[in-house]
Amino acid sequence: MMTDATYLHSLGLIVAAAVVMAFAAKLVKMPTIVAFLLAGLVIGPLTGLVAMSHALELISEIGIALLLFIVGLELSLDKIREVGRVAVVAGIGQVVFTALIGFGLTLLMGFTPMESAFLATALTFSSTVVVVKLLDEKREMDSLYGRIAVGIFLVQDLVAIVMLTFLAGLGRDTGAGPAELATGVAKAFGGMILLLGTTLAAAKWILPRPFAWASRSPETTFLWSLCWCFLAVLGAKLLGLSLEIGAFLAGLSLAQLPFNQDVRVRLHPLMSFFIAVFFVSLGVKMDLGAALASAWTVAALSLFVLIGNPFIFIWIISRMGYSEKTSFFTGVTVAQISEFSFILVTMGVANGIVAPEILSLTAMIGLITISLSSYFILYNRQLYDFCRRAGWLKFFRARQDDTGEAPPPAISDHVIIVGINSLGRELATRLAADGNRVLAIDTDPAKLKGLPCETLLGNIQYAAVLEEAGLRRARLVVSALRIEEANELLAYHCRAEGVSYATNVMDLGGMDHLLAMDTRYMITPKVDGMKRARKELETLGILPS
Amino acid sequence: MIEIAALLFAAAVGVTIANWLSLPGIPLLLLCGWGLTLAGFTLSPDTLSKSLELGLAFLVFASGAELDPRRLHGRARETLVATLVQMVAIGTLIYAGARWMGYGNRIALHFAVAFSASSTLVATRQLRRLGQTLEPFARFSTRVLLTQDFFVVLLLAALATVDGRAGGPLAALAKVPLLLAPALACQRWVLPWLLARRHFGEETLLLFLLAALFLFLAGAGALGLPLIVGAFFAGMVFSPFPASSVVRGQLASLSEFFAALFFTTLAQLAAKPEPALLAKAAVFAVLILLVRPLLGTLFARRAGLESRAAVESGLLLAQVSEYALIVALVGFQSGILGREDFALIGLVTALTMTVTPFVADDRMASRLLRFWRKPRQPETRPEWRDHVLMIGYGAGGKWIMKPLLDAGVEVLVVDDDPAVAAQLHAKGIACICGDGADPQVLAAAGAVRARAVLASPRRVADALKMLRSAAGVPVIVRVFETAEADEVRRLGGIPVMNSSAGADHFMDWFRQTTAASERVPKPAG
Repeated sequence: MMTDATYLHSLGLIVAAAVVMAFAAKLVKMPTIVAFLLAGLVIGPLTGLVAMSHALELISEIGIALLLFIVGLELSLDKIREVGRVAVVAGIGQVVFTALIGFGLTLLMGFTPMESAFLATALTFSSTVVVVKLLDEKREMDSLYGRIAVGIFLVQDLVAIVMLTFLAGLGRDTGAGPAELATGVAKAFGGMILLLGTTLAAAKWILPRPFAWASRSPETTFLWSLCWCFLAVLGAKLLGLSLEIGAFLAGLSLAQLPFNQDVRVRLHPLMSFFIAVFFVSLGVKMDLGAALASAWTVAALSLFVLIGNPFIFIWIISRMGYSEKTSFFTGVTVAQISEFSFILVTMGVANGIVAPEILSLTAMIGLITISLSSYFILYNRQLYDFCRRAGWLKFFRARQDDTGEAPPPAISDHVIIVGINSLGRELATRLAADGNRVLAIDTDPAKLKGLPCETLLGNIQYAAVLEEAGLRRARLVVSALRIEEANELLAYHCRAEGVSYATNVMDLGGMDHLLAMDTRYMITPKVDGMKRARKELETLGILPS
Repeated sequence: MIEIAALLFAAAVGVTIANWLSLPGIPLLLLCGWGLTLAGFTLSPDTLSKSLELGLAFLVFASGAELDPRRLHGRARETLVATLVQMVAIGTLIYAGARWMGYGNRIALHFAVAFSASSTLVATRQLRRLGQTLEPFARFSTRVLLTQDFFVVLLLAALATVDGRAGGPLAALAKVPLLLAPALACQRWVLPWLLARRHFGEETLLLFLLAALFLFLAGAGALGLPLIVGAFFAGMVFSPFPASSVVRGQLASLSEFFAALFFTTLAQLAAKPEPALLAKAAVFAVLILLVRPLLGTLFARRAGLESRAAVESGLLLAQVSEYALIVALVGFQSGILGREDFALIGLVTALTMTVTPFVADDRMASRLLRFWRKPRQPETRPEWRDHVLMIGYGAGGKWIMKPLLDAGVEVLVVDDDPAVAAQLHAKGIACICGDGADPQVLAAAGAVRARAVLASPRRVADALKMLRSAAGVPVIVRVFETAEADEVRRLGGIPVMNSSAGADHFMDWFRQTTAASERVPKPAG
């Protein structure tokens, strides 16, 4: 009955390859991004099983949009403003330094000035998608270095748009004159300001009311949030900006609203699917043929990106007063080239300015730097300790004390109440009154209002919500829900984490199963209500005491 | 990207209206998708086919993942009989009706399969909305619904080859076990292995889930079966606990997204309904709305449910399944159904689904119970006095009846369920079969002369009527919310709030364990 078996076949192969490589990656502690890229290489250039199609490109684009939308949702405007200065200075500073040094290096290697210009620019940009995905995996998006990195990448995205405008003009007969370049720059910044202004104004004056109404139904909020994301992406495209910027601003504008966390958690599985397709597709698209012949060039330029870029960053950021640790962590995030680099060089090849071999070279450098920098980011603490012990960081003379830059301590030794119905509300109120640290979770923001404890909007079906609630550090988890499946799921997670669990039991027939899962206490409101009714009959003298 | 954004916009509008009007989402999604078409927005064939493919795959996959074998444990036979007889009866009726209306054999067969099952999505939503998921009738109905889904998928496998392709329906059905066996094997061996490796994390689990989906799609394709058979069996791999619960969140995001695209896209295939088509759709819809509740009630009663529960079960199943739209799509893509036939199935589905919230509630059940044959009323005393009047005899009534009888207290029960009344009469307990909120019934039950009234009303408004009819008598009322308790107290009643009683006991336990060891001891292992 399906009309396009090739499309499903390709998608199936991409997913299957991603799973096989992801499993293998877990065994050798390889970052999943690297696994996805390798999967793409296997089913693409190596075997030719999958070829890119419009539908796969669209899925990749949606994946990028969702990823950046989620990043925006996680970062409020205040958090971005906090790192705005360092992001602009470091972002532009690094672009200038890397481009200049890269240009010199490639000229020395024998490339033509035009090829050197393209290669140096390609080496300048770091991949927002790769880094954001890894930060998300490490759950460090909200850390200081994560926020600086995201700020820098957004600045880089803007610079990339300007550079693309400029370099695209190089292919034309007329070339890109100063007026054209100025127009390009003005358009990019004007578009950015217009989009930012529109999304933030909407977030402040238009969106809160309808979204507050819609948030009673998570499905409605989910769909409207997606609509908002796509609307901003289309707006960005219309203004000549990247879809990353559009999606990020859409997320940022919704981040000011109270349900942002729930939307983020709900979008995550969807994003994971689309973004896996994006990374595998990236591997599929890589044409490494010619690059293999110039291994030394690839190695030298890769080393420049892997070491040179972080070096420049650590130096700039530490000069701005940040600690050695934060500067280092931020620095290693930029040790790879970006998907923009591929677009840029592809444009150069299409315009006949650079040879096709340059594209293969860029692809190979991309593969190497994305793979290795993924390890850098995932194991940044170990890498930092190693470099510090080796004394390699002394050169930067950065501040050692990182007080004030560390994230606040995570919630612990608390009681989690899931489901704020009448029972949940009673429990939360009484436990808090007894001086316990209580965290109440529900999917309805109205139910969380007015509780005398900390609250979290979300659905416990998502592991990310339990992670956010600090389940493994909790003293006790209590479910007041009248949903059997959810209560059993909580019992399952609590047993796995070794956390005590108490639950509301509506059907006494289900008790055995819950007991088998180490449930410590069963709340039986029906039975307790009957006992109380009986007590009332005793008080009235109808039943003997 | 623009097309996806437009579809999502239509879906968001549809879901918002559905929430606002407390209606099921699917009819509104179809309507908004159709609105897009009317507005001149036509999807490119590429986007249309891909939205439908992925939407269909995820929708059916999610449906398969609900088929937890535990739900059928010990009730398989009764569920199978109820499911099959209902499906055959409705299918036969629809087939005959379609033939009578002049439809050909194959089209009539498609209608019969399409309308033979009720909607799991709509019924589950209605149960959640009314907080009735744990009621016995809800469990029975859910079992029937899930089993219906399974059989519709099998029928789809047969239907896809009804034109003689791939050896015909029997050959197609014979291939089904070849796909079912690996699904059950994965469910039994692969899944527990995977779940034991928690360090794999959510993303890997999601990828595994997707890989299973595409693998089974490929398997179905290789066997010449419709791909939805593969999607359903792939879902079944994840249906047992704890996998079903662990993946539910991940799957919900994917299926919500793709289902929204699927239903809004689907409307693009339908023809503009002419009056004649609307009339035919109305005939089918009325037929289904009349016959299905009757059959549902009958089988629920046979399964041992009490009268009210049986009626509620019958009413809950009074709509056509979302699978009807899938059958329509299969028929349309194989060229058997035209745009008009497709629109007819869509209309009947939308109509019956829209009606569900209005018919499947306890008010309608109460109205219908009035037509139920009442048991012979026992000879009651002309004037009840100094008794305990129990209004509503649920689990709580059973629990409290014994100590009252042991203490020699005279008890009179008022319950609107004829089966409950009959049971009580058989035990020699006085019972009036009627509405406990009706002042006439309360007067007949001697409410004003009782020693006490124990009331478990469905609605707090009923409790207030009872309080007025039993002025001066202690009335103990079960309530659910603090505001209700305050209202009952204000009118002189004695509220008993289950949640408050439960919280009291919990706090006792918590304080004891906390006092015993500063930290609540963690379970072993």
